[in-house]
Amino acid sequence: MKHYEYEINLFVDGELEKEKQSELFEHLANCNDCQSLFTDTLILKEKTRLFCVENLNQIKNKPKPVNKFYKIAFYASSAAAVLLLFLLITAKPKETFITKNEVRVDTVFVEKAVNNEIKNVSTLGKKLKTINSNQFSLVNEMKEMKSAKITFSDLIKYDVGS
Amino acid sequence: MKEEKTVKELFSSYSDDILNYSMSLLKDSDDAKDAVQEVFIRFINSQSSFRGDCSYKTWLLVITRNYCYKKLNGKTNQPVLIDENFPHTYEPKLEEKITLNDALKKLKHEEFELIYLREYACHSYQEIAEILGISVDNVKVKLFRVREQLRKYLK
Repeated sequence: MKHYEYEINLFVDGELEKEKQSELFEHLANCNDCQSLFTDTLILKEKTRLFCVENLNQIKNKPKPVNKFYKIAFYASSAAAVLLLFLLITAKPKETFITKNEVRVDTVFVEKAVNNEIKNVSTLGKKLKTINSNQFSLVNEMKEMKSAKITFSDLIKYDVGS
Repeated sequence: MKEEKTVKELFSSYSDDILNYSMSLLKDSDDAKDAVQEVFIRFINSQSSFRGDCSYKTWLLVITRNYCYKKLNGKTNQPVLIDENFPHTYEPKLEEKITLNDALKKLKHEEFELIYLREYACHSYQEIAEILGISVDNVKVKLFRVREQLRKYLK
């Protein structure tokens, strides 16, 4: 008896013509081999599909290999950091000798600088204050002018009407 | 202006297909991303020669395939090392253990491509034939043979 392996394959993919489909079904009804082949093909189709999905996901999520240079650089820098820390802890500060004169000069210089700063600040503050007070009075006058209403009695007072 | 829009549309609708297809061939996500860009550059350059015999998608996939195979050939030129010390006595035992997934991994590029295009990308035989540049009957026969080969490892 002729087996329908090829046709089963096409039918599973939905590519078998309708005329041949009925022929295939008639055969399937009577042939056990082809029935098992049919189920096998369906299972195979699903399993291969799953494999494709899994395979693509694996490729997508594959961790990128770390560059060797970065690895070496990382270890080298960490070793250098440790060495530096060790040196900082163990190293004693160098003894320095400063003459009294030198120190005095420095303090004088600093004092002068500080005094200058204070002077500058105070003069600047005074200037600002005067400016502010001037501006304030001017603004007040303007406000008064705005709010003042000219009444009839004012007109008589200044003799405008006549 | 119109051309630009079509390229944009094509990119938004087919870039995933191209990415997956090139990934299935190149087995590397970075290479596949490069492939998508390269494919669209090639598409824009060769747009004038597109005659409209097939759909844009098929045309793009054909370009993808050509690009990927060119890249793969560059890689496969390296000599393959065969382990001569492999104990022959273990061979039959190993063969017993081979699962379907192992068999699928060992498929040739051309065979796996067929499986991918049919099962994952769900292309019709006609589309597969256009992408691979072979006849529909040839696709039928090839797919049948690959499945026959794989069916052995099902159990």
